Amino acid sequence: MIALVAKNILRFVFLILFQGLILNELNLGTWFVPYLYLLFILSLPFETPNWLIIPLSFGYGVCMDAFSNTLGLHAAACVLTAYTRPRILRLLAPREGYEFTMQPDIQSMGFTWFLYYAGILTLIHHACFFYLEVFHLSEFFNTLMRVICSSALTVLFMIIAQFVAYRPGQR
Amino acid sequence: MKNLRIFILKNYFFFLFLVFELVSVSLLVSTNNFHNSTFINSSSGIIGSLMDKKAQLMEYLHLDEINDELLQENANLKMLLKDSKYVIKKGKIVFTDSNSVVQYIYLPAHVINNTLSQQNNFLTLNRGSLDGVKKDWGVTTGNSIVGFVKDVSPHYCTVVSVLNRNFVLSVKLKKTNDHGLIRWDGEAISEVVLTGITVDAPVEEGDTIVTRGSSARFPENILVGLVTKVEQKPGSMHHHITVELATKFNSLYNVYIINNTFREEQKALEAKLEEPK
Repeated sequence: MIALVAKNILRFVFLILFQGLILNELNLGTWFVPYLYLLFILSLPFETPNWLIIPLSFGYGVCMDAFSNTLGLHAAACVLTAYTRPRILRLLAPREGYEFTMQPDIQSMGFTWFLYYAGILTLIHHACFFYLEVFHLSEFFNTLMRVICSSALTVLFMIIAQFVAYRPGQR
Repeated sequence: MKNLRIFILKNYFFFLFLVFELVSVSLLVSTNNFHNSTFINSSSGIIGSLMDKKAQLMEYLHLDEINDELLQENANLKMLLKDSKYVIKKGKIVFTDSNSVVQYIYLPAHVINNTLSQQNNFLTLNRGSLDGVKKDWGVTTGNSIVGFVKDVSPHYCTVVSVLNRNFVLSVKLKKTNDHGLIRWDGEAISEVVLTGITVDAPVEEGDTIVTRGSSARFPENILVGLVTKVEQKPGSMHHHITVELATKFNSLYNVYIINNTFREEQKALEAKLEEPK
């Protein structure tokens, strides 16, 4: 339990710094903006209580906002992601339910499951983020393309991150 | 009352979400009005110093470009020296020091953080209120425009970049003095859109666009960029002009913050126009 908490705190700090200091520097044009930091909210354990996940995501978003001078923007997107996460988890649950030893990652849930899970939540997060950032609907389809392109890139980064962080024999 | 309490307890997850989402959005909206000073931003304490460390690291990666820029700027400054000018009518015009006073004071600064991928991009500079920096001062690279100061902390300041939906600047065509407004359309980081120049003005590709000096932020005739495309929408009285920015935002490092010493005077005088009689 303690190890699990420590691991998540480490992930919190590392992903914030990685996103704020390195990924934000990566400039692939306005259409491809990866937000890998979202992986923290996706990787929280299945048994994380509902009352914890929303305030936690809010704090996490505010930390991210401090790096990009957008107070409230990341926070709003993170809170929405945290709110939809339990619903998506229920939707994608295996027939016999989640076991205590399972973690929401490729290692224990498989590639297809993770692709659906990360894909849906990343789309929700990015849609909320980009539409709030533009703050009007006059360029609806332009923004939609940015949401889709950026989500694809973010999910790709998440998959790469999972393969880098876990060694293959560790199952 | 009891039913209400049961209802809220039963759906506490939704209400929790609603409260935090509303807080987030109201934070966003209240800080979007950007003359409000924001206290959580990249010019504040810990994150400011982290950004400083990152900037030191990035400095090494860009040394070549920075050297070139500095050389170019030195060359421009040398050109302005009295020694490098040829006096045509010797003895007829006499310049003494009392003929002119310094209006614009330049303060050198380094860019320690620079966002490019958002719709509202900002920079963080390593100068703050201890160096006398104030809100709304202009920022240039020495040759071309960068933005204006938004918030100031003791050691840092944040700058609204040209690549920000909230940045609008009055500019003019160098050859004819026709003036219009530039703003960023959120697409490419090398282009802005110039509007407000009427169709009878002779605009061509390659024309130079410079600042107009009306905003009290920038001096007159600072380079903005070159015209790359001129379009005319049917029925419109104005050209739709695309301007390629002279500033290379992805390798920005050395900048100057401009202190217009006549700013207060100009603003105070112009404020009288808006006062009711």
